[in-house]
Amino acid sequence: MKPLISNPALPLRTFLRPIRALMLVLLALSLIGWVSAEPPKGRLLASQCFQCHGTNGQAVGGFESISGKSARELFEELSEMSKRRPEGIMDLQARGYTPDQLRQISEYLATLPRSGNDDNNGSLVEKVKTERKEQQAKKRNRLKARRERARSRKTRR
Amino acid sequence: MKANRREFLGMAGMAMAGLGLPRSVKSNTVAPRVLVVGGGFGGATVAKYLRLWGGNIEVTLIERDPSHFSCILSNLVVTGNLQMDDIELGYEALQIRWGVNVVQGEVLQIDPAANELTASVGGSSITYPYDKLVLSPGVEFIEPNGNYDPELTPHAWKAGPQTLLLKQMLSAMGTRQTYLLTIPKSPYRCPPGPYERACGIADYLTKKRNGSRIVVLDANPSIQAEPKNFGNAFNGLYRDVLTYVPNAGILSVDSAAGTIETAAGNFAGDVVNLIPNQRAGKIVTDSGLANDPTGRWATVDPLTYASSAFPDIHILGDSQATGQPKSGHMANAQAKVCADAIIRAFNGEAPDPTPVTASACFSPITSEKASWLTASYQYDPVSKSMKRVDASFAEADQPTSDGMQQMFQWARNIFADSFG
Ligand SMILES: Cc1cc2nc3c(=O)[nH]c(=O)nc-3n(C[C@H](O)[C@H](O)[C@H](O)COP(=O)(O)OP(=O)(O)OC[C@H]3O[C@@H](n4cnc5c(N)ncnc54)[C@H](O)[C@@H]3O)c2cc1C
Repeated sequence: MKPLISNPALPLRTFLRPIRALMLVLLALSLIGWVSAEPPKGRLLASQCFQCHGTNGQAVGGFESISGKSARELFEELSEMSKRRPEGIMDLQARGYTPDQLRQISEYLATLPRSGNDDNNGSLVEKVKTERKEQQAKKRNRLKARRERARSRKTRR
Repeated sequence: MKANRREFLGMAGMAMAGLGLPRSVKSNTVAPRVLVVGGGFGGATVAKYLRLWGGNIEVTLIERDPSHFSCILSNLVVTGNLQMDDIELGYEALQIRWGVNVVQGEVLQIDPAANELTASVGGSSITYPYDKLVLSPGVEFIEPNGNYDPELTPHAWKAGPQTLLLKQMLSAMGTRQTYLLTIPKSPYRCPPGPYERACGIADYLTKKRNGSRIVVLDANPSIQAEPKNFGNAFNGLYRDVLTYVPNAGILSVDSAAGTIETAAGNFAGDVVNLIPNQRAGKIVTDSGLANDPTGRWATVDPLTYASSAFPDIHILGDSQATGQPKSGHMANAQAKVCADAIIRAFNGEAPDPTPVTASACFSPITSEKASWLTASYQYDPVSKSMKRVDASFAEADQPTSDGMQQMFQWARNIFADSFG
């Protein structure tokens, strides 16, 4: 990394020097005196879901994103998986945690922003787009048909 | 030469990146420094999560290679189903998105008393100081007796040039030839991995229909992971092309001749895929950290992954001795526990007393169907160790095409969670 103030010969740089100095002070201030925050409850446990469901619960493909959903629904779903006859890999993963841990995971995941980049959302966006295109095409066809009807009425007259 | 602190930290860029991140480490003077050695699944994940959760921690990752070739999915490169590009993972996201300072270099020596290490970077030797050091260097091979040469009898158990070498040897196999595969004594990297490779090769040879066969020499008394699915495949689907020999630990090898002497007899192969026994990465052993009873793996506290010898040195992934499986999924899981514990330590807090880790492996049994294996581990305060939750431990009922699809989805996500 090059020093921020590099060429004193340039007058513009000299002019900028105090601003740069101020920026450096601000940067330094942002680095010091931060208040110790105990990690949010459930964060470490929930991060074990991220190998499959994406960092912060936002999957990059295939598997469902799990962030920003209702904590109660997530907890109910996980509890059910941990009790039903194991079939899929999730039924076993859910058995790795105590009910209290499952609750902490659900509550933490619910606080995370919903995913904007998972396949489910992606396909939803695609679906909306295609629907909109189809509707627009229908509208165009309707307008065209109306224009043609009007034209043929004119020529008849 | 000592790294100039400003150069070393790439300070302004790091601070800029730090502004957008959560403010979670209390610091009254300078930001704490963490060095991470090895940019594989453990190292990349710990570097990323220290920045994601730790705010102003300065993280430097030192990795020998310019990018990482994932062992995960690499068996599919050997059989020609995937390309090297598909398993190459770069460090750009760690640098740009997460503000990790990535240095390409080889760590040669650690001085635990002085909290610094020496690395060879671009031909010069540089000393880096640290507050906390995390080692995730993977495994080192224990050379078998005899004239062993990995260029002639490749392991392909670290992905990269070895993967391509084995792929070339497989595709050059003629008719009625023998592929010898040796399975190391447990514990080794990826318990189901060698059996998965055996299935991949057997599938390949079955499709070739040229009378070539695979002989699997297992140093262990039985199949070490997914015994039902691999056992069914060995005894059913691949009965005609595969022979499984248990208790066949290697006594000596002649790589040039392609012969292996084992406890179960002598064998010769046209292709010899010899996967040697394993121990912790060399830097762990050289630093006196491989201190478990076998002298091969590093004893750590599973609440923090701190070495039992030096509390400021943490050891993750394949190198450590907690008894959890040596998998990429697990290395990623441990990295999160370690990152959380380091952040808490910088804030003067005790580690989370109830961590859970999980492992998951998907194994192709044919080129269309895969099975899976999973297990979770809870901390047991009495034995101070990670205990498997037995109810969470199982293999798939049978290989399925759904399993194959899930394998690729899982790989995409774990690649992104570790490197993205
Ligand atoms: C064929 C095969 C299939 C597998 N399949 C799966 C699977 O399906 N699922 C799964 O979870 N796991 C799987 N694994 C296991 C997984 O790859 C490993 O467990 C995982 O990579 C371990 O992570 P790590 O961080 O300990 O080591 P690695 O990922 O190997 O990373 C170590 C890194 O450290 C670097 N390094 C070492 N020493 C130094 C040094 N002195 N200086 C600088 N850099 C250094 C190396 O270059 C390397 O990049 C498989 C393994 C194999 C071989």
